[in-house]
Amino acid sequence: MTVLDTRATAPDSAAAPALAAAARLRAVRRARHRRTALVCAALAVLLVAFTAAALLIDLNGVPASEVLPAALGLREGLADYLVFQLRMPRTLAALLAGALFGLAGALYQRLIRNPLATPDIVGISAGASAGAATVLLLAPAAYVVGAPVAAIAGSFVLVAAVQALSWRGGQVDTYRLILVGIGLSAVCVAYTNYLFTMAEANDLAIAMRWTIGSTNAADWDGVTTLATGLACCLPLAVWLNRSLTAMALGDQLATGLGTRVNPARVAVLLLGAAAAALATSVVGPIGFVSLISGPIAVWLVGAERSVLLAAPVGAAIVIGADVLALHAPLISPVPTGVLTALLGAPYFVWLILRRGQGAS
Amino acid sequence: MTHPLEARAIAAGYGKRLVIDGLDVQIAAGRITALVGPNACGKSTLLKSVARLLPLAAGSVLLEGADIHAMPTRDVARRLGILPQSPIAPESITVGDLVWRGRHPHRRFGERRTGKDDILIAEALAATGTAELVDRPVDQLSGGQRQRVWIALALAQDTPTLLLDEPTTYLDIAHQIEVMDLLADLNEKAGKTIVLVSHDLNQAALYASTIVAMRDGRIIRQGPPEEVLDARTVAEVFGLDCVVVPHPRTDRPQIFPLGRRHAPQENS
Repeated sequence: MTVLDTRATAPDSAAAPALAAAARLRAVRRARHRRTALVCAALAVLLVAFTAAALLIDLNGVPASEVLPAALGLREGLADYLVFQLRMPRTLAALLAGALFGLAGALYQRLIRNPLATPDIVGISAGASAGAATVLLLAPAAYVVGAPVAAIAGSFVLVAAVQALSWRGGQVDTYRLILVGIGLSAVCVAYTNYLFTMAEANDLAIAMRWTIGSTNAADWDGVTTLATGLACCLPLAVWLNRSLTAMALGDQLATGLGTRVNPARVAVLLLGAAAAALATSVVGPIGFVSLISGPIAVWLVGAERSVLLAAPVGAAIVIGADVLALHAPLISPVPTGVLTALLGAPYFVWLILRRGQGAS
Repeated sequence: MTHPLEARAIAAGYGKRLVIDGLDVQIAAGRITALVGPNACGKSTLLKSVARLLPLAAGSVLLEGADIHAMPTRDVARRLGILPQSPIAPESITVGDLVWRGRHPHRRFGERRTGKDDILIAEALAATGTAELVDRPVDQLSGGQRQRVWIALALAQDTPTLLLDEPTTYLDIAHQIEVMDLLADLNEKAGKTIVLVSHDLNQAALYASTIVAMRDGRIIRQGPPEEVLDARTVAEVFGLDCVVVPHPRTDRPQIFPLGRRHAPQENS
C-alpha cells in the first residue's frame, strides 16, 4: 500500500529538511546575538554621550578638565556646587528613573499584551505621585524614606483598584483596564492638586514635580533611592521575563508549559508598579517614557529580550530629554516631562488611531 | 498497571457551576483516546481538568500514578503536553521561535538556546512537515499549517502524553485528515499517548482506539469505536437518529445522521 510506503520512508525523507531547518535556526540565532550585542554597544555609546552632554554643556566658567574630578566629589567651590551638587544627582536621577520607567512599561506591555497598558496610562504613576506628595506636604521630616514608600503604597492601591474594577467574567478586560486606569488617574491628580492648595510656597516648588515630572529637584538621596530600586527590580524582571515569554502564548498554554500563571501575573503587576513608583517618587511622573521604551526595545531586539533592554532605552530617552529640557534653544529651561510628552503624546494618539482603525 | 493519566471522582467547572462532578476516567498508555459528546457536555472541561488548567473542586488526577497537583508544575510539563483550543501566537513571531517555546519546561533559569535546541526544534518541525516554514511569521500561515506548527510546539515539549482540545476545528476536511494522520503517526512511531477532544464522530472512530462518549458531564459509554459507536449510543449521547455503517476500507463504524426529513423513510 502507498500509505505504508510513505510511512516507512518518512524518517529518511524528513532528515534533510530537518538538517536544513536546524542550520537556518542556528544562523538566525547567531545573527540575533550579533544584533543584540550591536544594539547594546550603540546604546552604551548613546548613554555615555548624553551623560557627557548633561555634565559638560554650559559650564559657567568651570574648565572641562575639572568636570570628572568634580563629578567624583574631589573638588570644592563652584565646580563642586555646579557638578557634584547640581548636575550629577540630576543626571544620575534621569538615567536611573528612565531605566525604571522603561522597565515598568515593558513589563506591563508584555503582561497585558497591549502597548497602551503602561503604568502611567493605567493610573499607577498618578497613585505614586499622590502617595509621595502626601508625605512631602503632610510629613516633610520623613520625606527621604517616606516618599518612596508612600509612592509604592499609592501605586499598589491603584493596581488593586484598577484590577478589581476591570475584572469581568473571571478575568481582566484590557479595554476596561485602560479606561478605569485613566479615570482613577484623574482622581489621583485631583487629589494631588488639592494637596498643593494647602502647601506652603517652599514645599510647593518641590512638590510641583509630581504634576509634570522633572529632574530639577533630584538630590543624592533621590539617587540612592533610585539606584537601590533598580538594583532590586532588574534581577526580578530577568527572573519574571521567563514566565512572561510563556504567558505570551495565552494563560492555558503557559500553564501547560509549566508556568504558574497567576503568581507570575501578580508579581509582574507589583514589580512594574514598584519600579514606576520609585522613579515617580524622585522625578515625578515623567510622561510617556514607559509607553515608548518597550516598543523601541522590541523593535531593536525582538519581544523576548525587550523587557531588559527597555531599561537602557528608557534611560537614554530621559537623559536625552533632560539635556534638551535644559539647553535646547527657544524652549529651555522646561521640566523634562514636557519634552517627553512632546515626544510621546503623538505616538500615543497614533496608537489609539491605529487601533481604532483596526477595530472598525 | 499505572495509567499515564487517570481521573478519580473529579469535579470541576467555572465559578460555582460544576460541569463535571464525580467523574472517573483512565487513559490507556500508547493509545489515542477521543472524548466526544454534544456541546457543553464537559469533554473540554474534563481535558482541562486532567491537564491542571482548571482547578479541581473535588477528586484527584494522577499523572503516571502521582497526584498531579502535588507535583511541581514544571515537572508536570515535562510529562504532559496540552494544546488548548485557541493558543495565542505572539505578534510577528516566526515558526522557529514559536516552536522553541515548547522547550520551556526543559530549560533551567538563565540557560541559553544552543545548537542542540536548534536540532530539537528542527526535528519537531520536520515531524509535522513544517521544516520549510521555519523562518515564516506564524500570522502569515494557512490554518492547516498553523495547526501543524502548534503541534510541533507540543512535540518540542517532548512529553510521553499529549492532550489536544479540538485540534481540527476551523480546518477544512483535507487539513483535518492531515492533522489526524500526523497524530496517528506520532502515536504509532513515537508511542505517544494521545487524548483529544473531537467534534467529529467519524474521525474519532477512524483514528482513536478508545472513544469516551459524554453527555451532561457524565461518561455514557467508553471503549473501542466498534463497541461504543452504535445507533443507540449516538441517540443517547447526541439525541440524534443515525445509521451506522462500517467504513469501506477500515471497517471502523461511520455515522450517517438521520434528520427529521430522513428518519421516516428509514423507518418505513
